[in-house]
Amino acid sequence: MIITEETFQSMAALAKLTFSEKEKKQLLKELNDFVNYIETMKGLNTDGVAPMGNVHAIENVLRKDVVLNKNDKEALLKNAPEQKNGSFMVPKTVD
Amino acid sequence: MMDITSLPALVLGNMIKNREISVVEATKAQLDAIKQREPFYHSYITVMEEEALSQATKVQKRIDAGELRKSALAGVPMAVKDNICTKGVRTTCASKMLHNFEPSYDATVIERLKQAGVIILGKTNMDEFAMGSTTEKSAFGASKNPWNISHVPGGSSGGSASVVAGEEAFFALGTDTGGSIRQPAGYCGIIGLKPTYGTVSRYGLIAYASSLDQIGPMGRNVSDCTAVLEVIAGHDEKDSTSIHRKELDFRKALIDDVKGMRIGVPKGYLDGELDDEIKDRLYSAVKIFRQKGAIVEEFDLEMIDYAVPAYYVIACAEASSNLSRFDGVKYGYRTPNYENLQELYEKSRSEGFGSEVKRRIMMGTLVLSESYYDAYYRKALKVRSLIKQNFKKAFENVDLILGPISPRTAPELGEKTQGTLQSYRSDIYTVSVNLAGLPAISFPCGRDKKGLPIGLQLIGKEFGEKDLIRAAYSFEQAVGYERPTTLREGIDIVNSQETQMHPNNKSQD
Repeated sequence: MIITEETFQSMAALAKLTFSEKEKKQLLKELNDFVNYIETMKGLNTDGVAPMGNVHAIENVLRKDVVLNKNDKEALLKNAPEQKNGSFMVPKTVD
Repeated sequence: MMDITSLPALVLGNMIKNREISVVEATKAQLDAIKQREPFYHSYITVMEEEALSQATKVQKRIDAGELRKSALAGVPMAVKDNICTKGVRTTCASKMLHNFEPSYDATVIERLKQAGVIILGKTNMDEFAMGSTTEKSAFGASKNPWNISHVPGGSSGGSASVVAGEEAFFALGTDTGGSIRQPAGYCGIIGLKPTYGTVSRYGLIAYASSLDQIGPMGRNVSDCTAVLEVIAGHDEKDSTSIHRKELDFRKALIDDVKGMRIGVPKGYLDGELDDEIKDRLYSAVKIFRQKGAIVEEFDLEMIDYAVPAYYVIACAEASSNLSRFDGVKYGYRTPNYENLQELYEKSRSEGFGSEVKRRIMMGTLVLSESYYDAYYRKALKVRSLIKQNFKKAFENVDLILGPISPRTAPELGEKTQGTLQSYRSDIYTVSVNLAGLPAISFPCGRDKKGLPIGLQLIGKEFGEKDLIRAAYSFEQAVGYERPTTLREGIDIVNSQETQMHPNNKSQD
């Protein structure tokens, strides 16, 4: 096993996900299968090859800093799970 | 009134222009068909009956005022995959996470379609966040294949494929990250077109893997898809990966002539897991192209085996980043039980996402983590470079590449023979196209012994949509379009359910 339970837990913490024991067992196995599978990429020599993040060699696209959006506060707040006084409600974050 | 729902989109558009039918009549006819068929196909997540009828009235006024003379699709009712934002109409990504999300804006493609006077009927089912190949990962239940409702329509744009084949819409929009337009189009016997990356704006498309995602048309013939592409293609400053392309007059390529076109078939696509019946169909397509004057040859396309692992590393990495925005704060699902902010995040995400989405987020988190970044993520980006270079090399000798879409035809619903990795591997013919950002079109080519459609694809060079369209159009003139048996024979769909459960319908070609 390349991915240990400890690695799994730290990945889950980074991804902000929690799993039941049963889910964890299953997923841990699948993650290891996945890693074994993607290890096959090592069979391809990529020395000196530049990594490609985007297929078109585009550079940063800039535009003028002008507000184009309309004020759609109401429409946005309509989707809020909880709201109060025109703001999104979250649990207390600072004591 | 005649049943207009089987007509091609452009034929209906023409009838509307010639005042042979009103937009409201057409929309009503399509809504009636949806009501009749949806209990069997379950292809829509949301049907927008009221909005569609009110749009129909408005569009008719615009037509009457002479406003939409140049729009070939004015008044034609269509459907949109449910990961594309529609203002004021819920957009769920087939996830519990977004079950009640109503975007405050339209995606650019929606703005363009509305501008062209198209009528949006509803939002189609899909695999959750476009991760899957059957629609069975939808939080709203799976859709059915109109050719046989005990089989899946494919995915992730399975609902869009199903509404087009099942005549619940004249055309639809899908999205293709690793084959999600082409594979369901193949399973349902329709046309699916994945444009060159950057051709269609992704603004308002809920991102799965941003460097691979592309929106494209799904229709019952090549001309319809081409007309839709003309509406949705073009630069958009709201999408920083959108490109400035000239010559977007794709319909000029609707020519029945492939004389002298060089078509390559990768040898590596012909062995391995490919089903024999699909291989036979591929050879019959080769024959047709040759008869029409194309030069078809087999060639070696290298690195086929590396595309799937590289694809899943990159797609999952991007997904883990893109889906971090779903935290239960500003929109979407929020867990009812939480003590603090951390718990609100974790529980909302763990309860809101389905298992496949969580699996891919975990894989993506892993390959982006410090210890594995170079070995897997960076490596995959280098493999991607080589795959793109290889295609470039191949296109020095051929104009188009012909191949299968999937190793098999549509599996049965609930089929559990495939493990996760095995199901990933079945994306072998489609994902490299996305890694290289190339355009591709999938089209039907007969049926298998079970009566299910067999689809093939043509892959074009970067910005080579016109070659694709010309070849696919030409092929279509030779083989025609086949409606699903039940619709074609006008069998009452309720009775046909029994027939479909015990298929004895032989392949007709």
